[in-house]
Amino acid sequence: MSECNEQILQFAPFESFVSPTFWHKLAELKLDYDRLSDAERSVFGHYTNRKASGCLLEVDYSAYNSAAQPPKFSHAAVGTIYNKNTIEEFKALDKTALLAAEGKRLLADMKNGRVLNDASLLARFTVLSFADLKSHSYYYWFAFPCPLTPTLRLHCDPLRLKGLPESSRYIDAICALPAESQNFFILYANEEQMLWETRSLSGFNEQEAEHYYYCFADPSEYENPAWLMRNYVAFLLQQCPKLVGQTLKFMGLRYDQQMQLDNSLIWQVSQAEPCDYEQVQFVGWELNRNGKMGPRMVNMRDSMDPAKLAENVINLNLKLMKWRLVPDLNLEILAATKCLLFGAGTLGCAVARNLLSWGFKHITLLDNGKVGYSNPVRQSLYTHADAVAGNRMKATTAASRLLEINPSTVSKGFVLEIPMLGHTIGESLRSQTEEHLKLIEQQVQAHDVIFLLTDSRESRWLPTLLGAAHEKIVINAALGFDSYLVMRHGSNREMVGDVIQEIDGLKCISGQQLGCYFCNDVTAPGNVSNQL
Amino acid sequence: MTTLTWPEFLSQAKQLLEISTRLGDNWILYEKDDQEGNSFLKYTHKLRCGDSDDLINVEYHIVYSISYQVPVLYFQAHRSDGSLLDLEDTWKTFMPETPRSELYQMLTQMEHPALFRPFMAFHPCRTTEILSQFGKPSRNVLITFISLYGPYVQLNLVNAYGLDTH
Repeated sequence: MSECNEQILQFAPFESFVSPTFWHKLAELKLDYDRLSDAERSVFGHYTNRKASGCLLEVDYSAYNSAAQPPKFSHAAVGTIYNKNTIEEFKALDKTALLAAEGKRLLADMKNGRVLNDASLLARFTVLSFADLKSHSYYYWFAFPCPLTPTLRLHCDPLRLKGLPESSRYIDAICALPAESQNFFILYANEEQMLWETRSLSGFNEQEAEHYYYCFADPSEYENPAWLMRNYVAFLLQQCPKLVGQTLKFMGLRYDQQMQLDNSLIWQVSQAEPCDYEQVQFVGWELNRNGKMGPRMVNMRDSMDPAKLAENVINLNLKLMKWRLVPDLNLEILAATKCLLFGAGTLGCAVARNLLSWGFKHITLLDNGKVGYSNPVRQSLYTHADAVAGNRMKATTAASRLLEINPSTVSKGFVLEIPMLGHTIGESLRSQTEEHLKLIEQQVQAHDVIFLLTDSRESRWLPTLLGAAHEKIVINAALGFDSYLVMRHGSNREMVGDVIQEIDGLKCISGQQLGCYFCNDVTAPGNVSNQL
Repeated sequence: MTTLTWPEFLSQAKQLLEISTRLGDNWILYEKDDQEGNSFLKYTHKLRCGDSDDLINVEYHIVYSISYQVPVLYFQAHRSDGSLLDLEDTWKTFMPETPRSELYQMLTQMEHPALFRPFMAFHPCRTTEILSQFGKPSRNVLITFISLYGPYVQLNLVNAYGLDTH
């Protein structure tokens, strides 16, 4: 016989456990059905007493079904969700009043026979929430309403089922009961008469009460029984006030991996005074992750926002390429580097697409042209429809097309003429040219790398000059019929940690000694348009 | 070399399901439709994760790979607030000792062939090699597969799955 030291029975509070599908479904319902309505909704949760971890009440997409469908080995819990339209309403709502309202519903269900009919109403929960559908953030607060009944005195240490004499007879009787009914029931155990039978709650008979074990599916893994036992006790004493003061035996059923009940616990408790159900207070708001009385928040962008999903997967792809091929590659630098592309034609589109594939995010294009019918076949950012529209400018079309390919891109397009050496500028075009000049210089200053991808020699002169003056990295590319050129312009920038490489058979020249397109060419920039 | 046809995958999956039910375990067969590769085995359980001791829910799928003709282990873990573990978190949780340079080859994020969402998975390219190392073919390749790959991600089958019941 274990020590009788008259402690107070403590309960293991419920811990909410939310599946991502719960949020997916809530977002769907809010967008497609509820819209601006914030009427309460009935929801179902579930809890398991098989190999239980913690003391969990779980919710997933099935919460919003019209009938409870708990998974195998689990039991249904019944709840209400109050999904508010704004964060202000969420914060301002009177939490005590809400809990009291939910608690009174629970008591009403106990009185009016609904619990007798469906005991899962004893496993009650409430969710207060606010879904920020733009940022995919969910603010939520679970409550497990329970009347603050007088404390239960524990008459001795809890017993294990396997420790009872004739334990196998108990187990046989329990296992004969179908799984759905095992959430709350009575076990009549009369050792003298060698009779073990289960009874539903409505089969309660005062005459037999001394032989009763009040059984319930216990989702707690701890020494203390799950929170829902408190509602169970409240219900029983409300139905039969004579039980007040008597020692009652409660059995929390716990199945292990092999579906054995051996380690189920038995508590012998009594409640000294009756509870005044009219005046009783309610408890049950869940503490947040810091153990304080407050709501929780989860940001689901990574799994729910398509743009974020794309970004994550693209980044992963790049990392895999890096680990496999170029371990020293610094992907963060690539993502932060700002690229300015002079020209949005064949070269411009191809370079832009390639930059995207390597994880560059900031791409600006400059071009004065309109998308024409011959462009789409060679210029990979344009379609036939662009040409048909007749008024689509390349720079802006390319910029928006890049966004369509990767929503995380920061792309811009400017329609302008690059002032060119050897080309006269009429008086009427003077102010526009000055504007464009200013804009071009601004853009060069604002970016890190400039690409010269235009269709003439002389249009490269000004960008070359600006790139050198502002010490930017300049990459120059040109296409001929049967030849091409790609070169990096020299720079006066001092590279910290730059090491001159010695490669056999090659003369290696440092960046500061490289020339530009014009230094390396024998002809001066003229006007090519009269050579066509 | 050990490979599996789709009908073989299905029948062995059903066998595993039978054993699971008999042992009181909770494997499920999810059938999206009757197209090749669109049915898979599902198993869920909770784990306490290493340092923070927080509970996570892990869902495992045994999916058929049409191109490699072998089973593939996909899984996804989420926390109590519904947020999913990303690749880095997954590596830290399940394989904290393995260097990242090795991990990316074995355990990465892939698109689930039936659900079209990103899941963590063991890449199937070496599976047939691994399954063939025993010489004799297994009577249930799925049980062999799970017992080989599962433990790395805390998916363990009790020994009773391997008992001969015929």
